[in-house]
Amino acid sequence: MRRFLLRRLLLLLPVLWGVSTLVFLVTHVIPGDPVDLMLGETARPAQREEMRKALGLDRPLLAQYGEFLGGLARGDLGSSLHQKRPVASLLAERAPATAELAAASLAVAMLIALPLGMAAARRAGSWLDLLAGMLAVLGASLPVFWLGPLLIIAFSLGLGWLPVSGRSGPLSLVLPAATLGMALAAILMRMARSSLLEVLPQDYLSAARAKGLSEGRVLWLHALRNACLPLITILGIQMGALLSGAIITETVFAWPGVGRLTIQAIAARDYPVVQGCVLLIAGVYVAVNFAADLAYAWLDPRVRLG
Amino acid sequence: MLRPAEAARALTLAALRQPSPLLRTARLAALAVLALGLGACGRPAPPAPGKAIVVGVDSNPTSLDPRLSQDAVSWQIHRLLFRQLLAYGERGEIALDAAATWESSDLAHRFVLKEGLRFHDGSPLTSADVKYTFESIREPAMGSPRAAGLRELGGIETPSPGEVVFRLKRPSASFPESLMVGIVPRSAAGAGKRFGERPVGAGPFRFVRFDPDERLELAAFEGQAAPPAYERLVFRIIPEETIRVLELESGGLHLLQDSFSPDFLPRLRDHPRLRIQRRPGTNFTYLGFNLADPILARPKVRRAIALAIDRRPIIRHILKGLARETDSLLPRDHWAHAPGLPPIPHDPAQAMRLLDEAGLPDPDGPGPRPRFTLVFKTSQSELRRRTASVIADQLAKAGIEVKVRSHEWGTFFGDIRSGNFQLYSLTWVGISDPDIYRFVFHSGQAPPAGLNRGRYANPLVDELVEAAQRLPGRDQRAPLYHEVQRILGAELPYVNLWHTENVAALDRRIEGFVVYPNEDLISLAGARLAAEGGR
Repeated sequence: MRRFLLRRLLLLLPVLWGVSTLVFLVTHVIPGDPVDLMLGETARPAQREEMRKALGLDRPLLAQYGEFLGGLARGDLGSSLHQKRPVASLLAERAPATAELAAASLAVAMLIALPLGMAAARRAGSWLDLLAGMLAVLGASLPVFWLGPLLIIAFSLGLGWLPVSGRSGPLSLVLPAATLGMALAAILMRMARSSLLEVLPQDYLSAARAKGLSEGRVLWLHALRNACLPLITILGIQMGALLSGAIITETVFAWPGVGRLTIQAIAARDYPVVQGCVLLIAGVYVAVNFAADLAYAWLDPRVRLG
Repeated sequence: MLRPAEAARALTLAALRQPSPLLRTARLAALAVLALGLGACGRPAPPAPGKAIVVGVDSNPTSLDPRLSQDAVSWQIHRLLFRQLLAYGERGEIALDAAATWESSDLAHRFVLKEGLRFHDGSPLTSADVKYTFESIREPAMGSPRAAGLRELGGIETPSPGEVVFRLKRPSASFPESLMVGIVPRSAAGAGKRFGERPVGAGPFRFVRFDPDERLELAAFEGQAAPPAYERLVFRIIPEETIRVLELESGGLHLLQDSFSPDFLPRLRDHPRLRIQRRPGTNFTYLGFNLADPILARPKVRRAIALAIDRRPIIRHILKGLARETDSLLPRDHWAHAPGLPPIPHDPAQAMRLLDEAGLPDPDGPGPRPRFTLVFKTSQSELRRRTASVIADQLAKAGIEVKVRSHEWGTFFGDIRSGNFQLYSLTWVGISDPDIYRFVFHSGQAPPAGLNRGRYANPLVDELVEAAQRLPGRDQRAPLYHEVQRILGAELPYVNLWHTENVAALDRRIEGFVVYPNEDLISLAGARLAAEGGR
């Protein structure tokens, strides 16, 4: 186990190096000049040069890359070109909002996917299965930027139950989480259904029933536990979609998270902030998949890590 | 209905009852989500209804330091936090703000400050603060985008605490516009570039807090003769226009100004709680040509394009009537607008004749092959993309194939600055002084030094705009600008499209709010929010 942990942690290094190099190159290669965007079009060439020098953009790309990597090695993500504040503190301010949204979306997805997937598997071919399938297609097809306003019109304007946008309390989390969680719920539901269809005819479930366990315990404790393995794999993979979906959801719902920070930083060509945001998202993605591997071993004792 | 606290308690109890590892994990996750959600409850409560006016804006202010930013949202907020020597008034005229009197000559502007002005920290606003503000803008280390506007400034004198004199190196008619910057206290020197994090001004509102991407909260400044009639002015930052409109309809916002597309106008106009205020604005939308392009360098091609465009259906159907056709960069009621400019009618037949004369015949008559192809670059704004599509369709009828390419703003702006375009459309915002002609059409103002993005060059225009800038009076300047407009009308480095109207959708209870031609929100200082049930 320890060897496995060590090896996976060491593997993180080249992944993060690759991501950071790619992000550095992409941000510096795309058209658009942060100095233009900061000083406006009427600034004198001398003033432009002064600003370029102050921001360190006058040096060769390789030197900038070296400094970027050196900073990373020291845990320093640099400072925002526009806000003149450390990128780490900007991320620390926004990460809780994104974590809230991602966690709540995950919860929404699980709450919808597991009961529906289980019901669909138990009554495969019935109207319930058909309905669940239709809901899954609908959930996976509705884009966030369309579903979000639709839910707002229904639950905020129509019923007046929930705030339209912003982050002002637990109720304000409901609509963004539901919007973001819907697509994940659809995928998880289909996966839960097909996994359970494989597990349900197994002999050990009949044995559990024969021992007198209630149907609920049989399903939730024995069937679902074994059906969970592919779900965890899918969850790990879908974390990327969840985080990228959060970027759009945060914009739609005016949710002040890392996604909005990323969008603004890209628009302003604030290179260090873009790099910091992408690195954070990549780091979370890698960490979640790492956690998924560990969860595998925990759920299925036959899996041995090492 | 279950309250959040009750829900939390119920969830906690349920979680404690379940022994299964899987369920325990799921419930722990749910608890974590709830805890995070409840954590958000600890955020400051919004002000009580009726005591605050809430305004929706589309982006964060870039900086709350008036020396460091020029974007529209920052500028609107600076006007409420800070005093300026001069400001544009309700009718677009230059008005006194912190200044009680203003005397000007060719090479000097002398201001006497109003008595009793104080900053939000209680310190008096004096000529030394004014001097510090403008001198700090000129410091290279400040990196101020406003420094370019002070090129003609020779020095600043402060004969007394209530008097300040600006000496110029050479006459500059547009210099007073450069003085429209919020005055910051000398104590700002200690804060450096971090002054914008907790700005201190002398405006009608003082800074309370700023949560980027969420809200900016200002409070009425009581230390002035006539403080605002309500406690808080809140700006909520909502990037999506549909959501801004839904927030306005739901009562989460009281005011939106120029931050919704015309498509929403009928819906907002019919809303029982809202009313609409409109006013002719000074924002000018144009179609720009790259004159370094071999096809577009030909004047006949540019005229043919202008003749092939029909602006009326675009204004009627896409802009919902919120714009007026224009024959000049300046609005028709501007003092420097040239009378009697020859109109450019919609005449596709004449356009095709001109293209034939320019040596660009239609290769197959009414067939599908175009005379030539142009790329029309635009931003990702839906309104601009739709407008570009209609223009492309209109030009296709004259045999010009137009490929519309929409880009993310930074890329689009970078391409326009570097001359990597053929056609593009943009808007000049808040046009006031006609010296803009010098920045936009003088041959020495091509990027990166200036705003002549199309690389237009005409020695006579250079001479006229330089001369007009040196003359002090409107009567002397106007004839020169009339001539410039006639030349540009003939050579067409731009196709003048329209001036947009400024439009605000606001809660019917807001009284005293006025839409300004330059989108200034300063009238919020004198506005009030009537009690529920009132008008």
